[in-house]
Amino acid sequence: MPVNSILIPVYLAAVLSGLLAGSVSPALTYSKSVTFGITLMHSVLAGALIGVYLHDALHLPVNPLLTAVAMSLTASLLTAEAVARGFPEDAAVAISVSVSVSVAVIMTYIVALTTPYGVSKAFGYVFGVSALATWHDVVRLTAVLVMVIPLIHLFWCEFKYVAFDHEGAEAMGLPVRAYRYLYYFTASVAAASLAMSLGVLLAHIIITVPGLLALKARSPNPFKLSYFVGVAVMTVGYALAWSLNIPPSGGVGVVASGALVTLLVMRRGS
Amino acid sequence: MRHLNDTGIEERSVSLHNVYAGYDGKSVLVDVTFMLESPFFAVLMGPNGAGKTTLLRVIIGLLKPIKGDVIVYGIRPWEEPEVIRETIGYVPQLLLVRQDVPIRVEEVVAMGILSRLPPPRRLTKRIREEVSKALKLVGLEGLEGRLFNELSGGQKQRVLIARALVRKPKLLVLDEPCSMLDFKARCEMIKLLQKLHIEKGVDIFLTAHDISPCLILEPTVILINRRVYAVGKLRDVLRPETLKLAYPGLTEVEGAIILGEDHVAS
Repeated sequence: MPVNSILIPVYLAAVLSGLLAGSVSPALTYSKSVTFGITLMHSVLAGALIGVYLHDALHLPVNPLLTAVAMSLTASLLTAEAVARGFPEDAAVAISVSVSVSVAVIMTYIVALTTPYGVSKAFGYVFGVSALATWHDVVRLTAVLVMVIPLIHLFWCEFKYVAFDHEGAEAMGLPVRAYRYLYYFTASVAAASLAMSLGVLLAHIIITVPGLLALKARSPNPFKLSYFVGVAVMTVGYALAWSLNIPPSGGVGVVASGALVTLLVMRRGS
Repeated sequence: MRHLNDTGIEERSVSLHNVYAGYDGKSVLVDVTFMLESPFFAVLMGPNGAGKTTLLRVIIGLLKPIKGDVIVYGIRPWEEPEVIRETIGYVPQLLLVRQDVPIRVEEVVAMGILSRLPPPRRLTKRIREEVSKALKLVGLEGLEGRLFNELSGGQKQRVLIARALVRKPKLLVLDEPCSMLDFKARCEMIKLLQKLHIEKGVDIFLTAHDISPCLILEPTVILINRRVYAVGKLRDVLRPETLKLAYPGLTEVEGAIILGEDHVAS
């Protein structure tokens, strides 16, 4: 792979993204919330559109990146509250998707009416391009990692336990609702950050694969495998993309899919 | 706060008085009244949708009654949840437990102790010893390192019982502990509960569809279908004229009573 000062943040962002995905992916897969993680990325668009509107049309000092994260958090809290009120998680996710997409559609219309390039600008915030990762992305990913990894490791036992037996956990006095909120909060911050740094397509892949492999490997402590897979898929994927002269997302996608297929074949053979 | 009458009987009993309980303001349980004086081995019997799980949730304090009073060993469960959690060991339906989460037997049982402690919740040597003792009690010694989802249905149920026992409860509340088990495993499960009841002095309160494995124990049976239709010894409750009240679809055939789709009493 070529090495020059422009590409250093790209490679660093790839490694950091692999670590970030490796940290949240087990929690998402163990609690069957992969679709939730993916859904959160769509709420980022609604938040970015709101930010662009406030910034460009109303000239308020608002950073669209922050509104994107705020919208993602709102969607995650909405999901958590719906689950806490007895909705199945898929229905709760559907509710937050409906709200996010409705906001996105309405804001697209309003932004298109009031700003000349607002819609494309908002899409630019959301659909980050992994090959164009900057030092800003590296700083953002590092900040999110510093927040997310300790939270995940500190409360992994509880996240896993609530996923395993939420009624038993509640009966034993664990604050199930609080853990659910914390888990959704952590996942939303990580998903939004990955989407903005790598682009939605690549974020879809990388948030799913490490946890899924750890789950299929039936490892009670999935993090070693998950971190390794996260970083390996990103770096090998980038190397493959460079050698084949294809976009990084394509390389990562090929490596991730290959890893999953290999695991399935090995498990079938065993 | 203790709620005692002059005899002090409520200190050593589980009693419900005119209890209405349900969800979203709608009552599933209607005017439920009964008292179980310790030591007891009680089976809650009724058709699907009768409110058995709802009743258990009221007793363990997860659901506050809409109306009426519940006193468990002198305590109102929803008023003192911390005390109730130390008093009652709850074993949920195996059906509600996610089987695909890779969690070790030791971790499952340890949560009975760890849930009392603040984070970070880590396994210590002392907790591991307690876990081993609880697993030995349910006949699963040596399985600490196994994954929960690799065990048989009966073993999984025993692990959940060990998780409740590790807290050293006075009362064990079990929701359908014999469901998803074959007849032999059901009998073994009931034997285990009998052992805990006799040797450890634990009161037992369980729900069951098929109470035939319990026959030899002569348990107290509570017949329920939203309201209580009978409370008493098995031979008194398990009569066609009584069962007909709670099981509207009851059919009598020679030598047996068909209560419904999967409810058969010999």
